[in-house]
Amino acid sequence: MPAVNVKRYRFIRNALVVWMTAVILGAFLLDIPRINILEHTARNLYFHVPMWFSMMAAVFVSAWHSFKYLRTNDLVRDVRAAEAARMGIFFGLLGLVTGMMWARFTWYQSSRQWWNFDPKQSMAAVQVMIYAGYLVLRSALDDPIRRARISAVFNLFAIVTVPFLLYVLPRQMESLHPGAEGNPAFSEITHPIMRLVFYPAVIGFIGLFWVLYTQRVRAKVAEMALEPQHQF
Amino acid sequence: MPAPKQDAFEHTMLSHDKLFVVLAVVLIIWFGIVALILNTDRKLARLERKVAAGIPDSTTA
Repeated sequence: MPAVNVKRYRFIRNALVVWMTAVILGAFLLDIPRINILEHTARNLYFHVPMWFSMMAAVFVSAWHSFKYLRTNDLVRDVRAAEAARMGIFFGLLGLVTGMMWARFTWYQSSRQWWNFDPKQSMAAVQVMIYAGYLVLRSALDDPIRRARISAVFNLFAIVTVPFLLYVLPRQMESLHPGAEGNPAFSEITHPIMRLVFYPAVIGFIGLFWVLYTQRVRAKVAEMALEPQHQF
Repeated sequence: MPAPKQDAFEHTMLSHDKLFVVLAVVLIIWFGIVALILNTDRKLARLERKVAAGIPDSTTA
């Protein structure tokens, strides 16, 4: 039985191409209210924020497969957990860098800073490092079975930190990032036109995660099948 | 006065603070990424056919 349903993959990939093209067109062509300081950078809502949604989707997929690995000992689950975590780091880094770029010309327009240890950004950086730790741990273990089991346990601990680092803690501290005290992340003040693009953008970028992740799983499974020492 | 023939496209691109120029750039990048994804898929399909045919390691690299 193949590890990946290629037919379903192709269907979702083709849908994603059309979907994301429409999202990009909407992101630039639809008129948005000009808000002081934000100006056109408000459109970053369509691109920067979905990075975090994709990262969260990736690490939840990763944790799910780690959980399934511990129950089934199926090494394909281990491959899925590792590749999903890798894509989680990828989107997390993109989220961090795009956030820095956005903050530099809005929050820090006058102070000209790129980084000022804003809690939301710091916690997000810690979160990415926890997942980097997962990959470092994997690379330190040679035996595939041992690596799969130990890293699966680490991964289940890692997922527990996600709601705290990305949601609970930043909201307890003083932060410039929307979502802190008296500064809603996304609320009735968000223009309906922006919602019209934002939600599809979130779905689209999660779709992009899924396509890239599935590609990596296919490549890894094929590689394992071709290398006798990884026979399973 | 510039020729009106050339104007339509240029006029559009320069309007709205030249926002459409950014749109064009992002679309070029997006279609580049799509081309890359499709290219990788072709390579994966070739690799999977090889695996299915049961040919052990030859051009794995």
